Amino acid sequence: MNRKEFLRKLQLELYKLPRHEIDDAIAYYNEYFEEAGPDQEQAVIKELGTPSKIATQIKADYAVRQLESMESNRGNRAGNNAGANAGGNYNTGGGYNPGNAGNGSGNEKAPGKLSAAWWVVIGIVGGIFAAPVAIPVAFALAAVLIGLFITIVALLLAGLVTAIVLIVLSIVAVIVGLTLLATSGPLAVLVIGMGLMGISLMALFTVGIVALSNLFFRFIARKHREGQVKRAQRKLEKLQQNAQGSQSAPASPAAPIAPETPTAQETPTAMESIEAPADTIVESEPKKGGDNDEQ
Amino acid sequence: MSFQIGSTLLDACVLSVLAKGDTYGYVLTQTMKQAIDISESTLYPVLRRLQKEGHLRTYDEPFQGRNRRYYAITETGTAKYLEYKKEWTEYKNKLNSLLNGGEDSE
Repeated sequence: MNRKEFLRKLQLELYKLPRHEIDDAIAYYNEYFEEAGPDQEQAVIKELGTPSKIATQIKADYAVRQLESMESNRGNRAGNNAGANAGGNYNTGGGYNPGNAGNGSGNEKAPGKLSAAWWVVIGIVGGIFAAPVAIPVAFALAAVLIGLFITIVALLLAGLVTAIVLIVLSIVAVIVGLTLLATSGPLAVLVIGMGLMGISLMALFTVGIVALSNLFFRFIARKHREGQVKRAQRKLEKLQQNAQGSQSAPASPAAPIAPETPTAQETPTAMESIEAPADTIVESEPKKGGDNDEQ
Repeated sequence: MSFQIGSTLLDACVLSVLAKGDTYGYVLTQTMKQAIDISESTLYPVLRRLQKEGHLRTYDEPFQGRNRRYYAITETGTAKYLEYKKEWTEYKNKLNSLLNGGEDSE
């Protein structure tokens, strides 16, 4: 593989990131090759490893940065990492772990992310004590929410159908009224008038229903995305620790047994969830301002 | 060398190199490699993050018909660097006393 191929492959792997990020990354590595000189090309490629590996690092880092800016935008300062990470920052067993980045810099924007070790503790202790109650409660909660969701959707649909039916009826009324014009003038005018009124009222009603549905579904999508992002965060840690072959103690952070959002049903593989949240994050928050780069 | 380096320490190293003066990616990487065993690909995410956090900024300079991106430390970056220096000294002394059984070799 030569430099051109390498960079091309890297660019392909990065395609899900915003243009700006891709360009910067490619520019950086291109510049690196240039500086190293053509005779060092193979040596550099060997050192860099595969384009996939670099792409993963870049995407992971980007996802983490997005997470942090999302969480700080929500003003989430709670449960700061201080305790778990104060000593852990110079963690010699952890390798290079972008997952710890936000915590490590002592940033007060750092998200309320507990370190993996704490999740393990919470998961184990919480699970032991809470399981008999928590799991059924979780199911009940999920059922209620699903029921609620279905009800709202049904209501919206019903409203929409009603509106459409009434519009049709009103149109019919207008037509009937028109045919009556020949025979009984005033009656015809009355019928036409009512028909027209019906049409406009129902049109307004339909618009209202559509707007409500829009709001509702966007709300649901946001909640779903947030749930995905949280899960991606945990998978990220797991993936990085695996990728670095790290021997640091906290293996996979145990997902807390306490009820999360009920949309947490699927469990994508670690790689997919790197793709998915970056995908979701990128597509739904394109102008999130996560790139506050001072250029 | 089997000690791996955490991301905070990486930040500190980058900032300390930049504190001595602006430089570009290639030189930065080579300088870091003299002290620690990192891969060429490690540095890019670190630089991105530091830039996002406002600890460094970038500017481009043309060089031999192409572009060189220089990294410069900012004021917040300098403050952070001093903070890291202090933390490192404390940490280093504690480690020394532990590893050397009480003899401080520095």
